[in-house]
Amino acid sequence: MKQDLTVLQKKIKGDTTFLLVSGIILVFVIGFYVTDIFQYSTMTDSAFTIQQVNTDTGMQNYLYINGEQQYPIDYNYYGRLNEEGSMEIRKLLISENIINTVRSLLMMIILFTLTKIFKDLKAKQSPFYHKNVKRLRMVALVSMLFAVLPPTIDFVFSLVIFNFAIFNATSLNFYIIFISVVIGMIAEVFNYGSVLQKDMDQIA
Amino acid sequence: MAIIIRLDRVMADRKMSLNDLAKQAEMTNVNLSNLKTGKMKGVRFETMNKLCKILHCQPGDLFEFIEDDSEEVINKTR
Repeated sequence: MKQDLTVLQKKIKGDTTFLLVSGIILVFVIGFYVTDIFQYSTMTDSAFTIQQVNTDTGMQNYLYINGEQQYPIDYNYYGRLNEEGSMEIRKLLISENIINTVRSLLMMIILFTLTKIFKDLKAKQSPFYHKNVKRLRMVALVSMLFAVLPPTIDFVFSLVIFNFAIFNATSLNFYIIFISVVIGMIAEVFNYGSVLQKDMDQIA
Repeated sequence: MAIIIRLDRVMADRKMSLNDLAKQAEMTNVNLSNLKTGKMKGVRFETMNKLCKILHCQPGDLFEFIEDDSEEVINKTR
């Protein structure tokens, strides 16, 4: 039993390192998004254009910032016109970066919570206790927000920029909602486990 | 509960402290103290084996069953 636990402890150390590296990468990603938000905020609308480019795979819509080609872009989303009949590419790019920043922050919260769980496991503490139940419930809630919040923010931004928005149910990621429900159920299993653990701890 | 723990008596006879016994039995001080004061619900055979080995005693020396588990009887025997 002790040997099994030692092997598990080593695996936990590897998992914790993976979580730490993922967290650091996310910090950089958030940094890039925030930099883009500030950069685009200082630029004018006219600096952003969409042009069709002939590529090997056919005609594609590319984003141009200050005349420099950037990356392929979804014209159906970014080419929308406001009430005055002009495109709002800059504002949509800013809103997209805000949504991505929110997504990354939610992912960081999940990673941070998982790190705490693994840290306690590393300290040879049983996983079945009330703190971990609360943490798993938090992960389930944040996962649910991960699915619901970005489309909601997009809806609000569309309303603000275009004075018009449709909340499309298909923009909700039901797979993530399903995963969050599953995690919530696992939290309740851990809750039951914590009651059993408490009972077990009363046996010397 | 009708089972009384006599671990403190055996420890006193063997002149063994809680810390020493906990260290030798590979238990935490808290767990051993809880066992000593009767706050535990049960004892594993493994733990009982270790305690008997360290204290050179029989399991019967560590536990006593009292039929009538009224408070008065428990207080008298303690």
